[in-house]
Amino acid sequence: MRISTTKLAIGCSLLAVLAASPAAFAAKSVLEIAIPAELSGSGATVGVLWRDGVMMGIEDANAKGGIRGHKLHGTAYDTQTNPAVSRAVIQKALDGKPFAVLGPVYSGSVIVDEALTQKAGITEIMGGEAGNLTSQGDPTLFRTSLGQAQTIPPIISYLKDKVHAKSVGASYVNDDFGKAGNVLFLADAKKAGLNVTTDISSEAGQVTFQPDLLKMQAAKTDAVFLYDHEEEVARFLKGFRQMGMKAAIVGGSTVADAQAIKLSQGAADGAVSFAGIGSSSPIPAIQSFVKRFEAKYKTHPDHNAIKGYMAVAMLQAAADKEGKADAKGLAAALHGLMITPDKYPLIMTPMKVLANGDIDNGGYLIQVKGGKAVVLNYVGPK
Amino acid sequence: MNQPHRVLPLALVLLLVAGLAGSVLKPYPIYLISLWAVYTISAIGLNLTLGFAGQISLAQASFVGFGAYATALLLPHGVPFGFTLVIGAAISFILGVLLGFPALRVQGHYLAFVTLALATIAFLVFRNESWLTHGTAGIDKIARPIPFTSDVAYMWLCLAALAVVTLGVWWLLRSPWGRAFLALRENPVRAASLGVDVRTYTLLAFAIGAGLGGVSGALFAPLGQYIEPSEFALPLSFSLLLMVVVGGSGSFLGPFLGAMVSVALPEVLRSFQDYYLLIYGVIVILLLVFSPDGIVGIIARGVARLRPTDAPVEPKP
Repeated sequence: MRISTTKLAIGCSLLAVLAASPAAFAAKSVLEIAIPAELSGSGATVGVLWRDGVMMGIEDANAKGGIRGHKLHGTAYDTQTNPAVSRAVIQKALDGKPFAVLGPVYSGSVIVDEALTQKAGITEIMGGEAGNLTSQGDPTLFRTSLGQAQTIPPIISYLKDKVHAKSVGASYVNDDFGKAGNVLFLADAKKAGLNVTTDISSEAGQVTFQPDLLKMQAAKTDAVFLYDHEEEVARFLKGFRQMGMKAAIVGGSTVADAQAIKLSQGAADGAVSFAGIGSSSPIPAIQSFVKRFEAKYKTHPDHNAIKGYMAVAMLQAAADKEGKADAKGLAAALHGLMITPDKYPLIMTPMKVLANGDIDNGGYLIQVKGGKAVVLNYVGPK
Repeated sequence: MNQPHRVLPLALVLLLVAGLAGSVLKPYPIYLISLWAVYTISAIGLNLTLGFAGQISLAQASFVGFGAYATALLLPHGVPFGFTLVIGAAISFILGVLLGFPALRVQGHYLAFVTLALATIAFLVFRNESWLTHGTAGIDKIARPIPFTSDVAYMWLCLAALAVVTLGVWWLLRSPWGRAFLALRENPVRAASLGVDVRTYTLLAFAIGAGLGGVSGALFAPLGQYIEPSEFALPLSFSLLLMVVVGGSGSFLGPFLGAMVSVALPEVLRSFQDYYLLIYGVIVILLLVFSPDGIVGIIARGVARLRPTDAPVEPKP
């Protein structure tokens, strides 16, 4: 039997291709997503929602084919809201060579984790909002929401241009979230020529704010800048109204948060905040997400769940930009990336990834009116 | 198991095995072994105060904090690690002496509350004096001492420090000091009647325990390379207390085993996901219900059962 030279060449070529790329005919590998989060300890309410948001994002992404044909698999690691434990679990996650790390949320845990993810060259998309996290020059660390350096300046502008305030009293919760926000506020207020008459720290879980309010009342400030957690915001505002104080109330996103409005029983009316994307944002995709999340997890998602969900879209967009699902190139692909919901539905609203790892996906100047958060102004991504 | 001279070789072999295993393992178990060594040093200190001298303390985390902050704050100024360790231990030792004074007047629950007050004050200092401690932002990028910069090398440093502490405490417990501590625990009045200076030894029990907390903190800071106030709050004090009690309060090997349970067991149970801490809690409760003298008690009973009983001696005709 004679075989022609052409047939022989084609046959050899096919064999060579088969031998060189056996994976081409095998199923594409699963991409492992490590999710370090505060699943126990004081940060559990935040971390559990973050994890559930990421898990829902992974499920939705897999339903649409995953990332460049690779299915995703998420593994959650409990940091116990303790940096020493966080260091252990991120090390465990990195030993498994994940495609990316999504989490954690608390600053202390983020700081210990980012040193290791940077060393390993693995992209870490975290839920922290403290201003100092992305100022360290880590090229593999990214946010999923606006940082404090982006949410505080619009409030300062509001105080200057709309309230025409000359003096302001500050009240903040003395933890990593509140202290970092307070430091930025004091610096920006000084630049804007605002006189900060009182600067009072409070404890998480503080029951009464009467002594703080008395100091502010004595100082006769034009406005109060409140940077606290939802429950404490409600207690502060109730005391504020009981004392008949008239100063304008401004603050972080918690001031006009649904939980704070509910707990304050009308005392939050008139309060103004600048907030990033959250569960009350008037965006149809977000409202649809909120309903699906509630149906799935039987709880209301806050901004942390939304951030976790959007983090998966950031991975999709970065992998598409680099043209392959390669963990090492993800971070470089993310810098400067514009992600839009028409191409990546999980992002829900347009997001610009900035050079330092911050993101810009817009925010809202919100005022509480009649027990509801009303959008005064929308500031889209630049 | 309560005889230091009998179990000392066992403790040293345990350290050697941990080190050799860590040298061939991945970074995650290496970190856990290092953390175990660091926590064991602190638990040995607390065991000395609580287990051997009978003085309860809920402030051990504060002493770990003083050691950690001393190292984290002094290292960037060019102070060698060895000095920062000594300074951290000395600060904790002095504060331990000060904490010991109330122990001369109050005991039991009341003493626990006094130490609780110190723990709270120390946490507030770490958090609020941000001009010194960097407050809630914490201190990051804490350098490891040269040549112990790699994970494996630093693990060996932690194990070596634990070996030195183990030998030191072994010597201490065999000395008249150790016997005085035991006398203090069993019956202070009788100890005084036998010539033991109750005042001095009570202060020393606190001071040495606190000093070891400081040593532990000095090693802790470069291990994670980041510290913040909440790491040295009450939960760590309770965790260290748990290590001592679970291991076996007043036994030489207890802190080694207790710290192992506290560090390794939650990690082993992680596969149970949301329930892993619940299961961990149940195991600890069951352990203490069935063996109030801790793991050491279980081992001691097991060893006693394995030993052949002496054959009855036949009476000579």
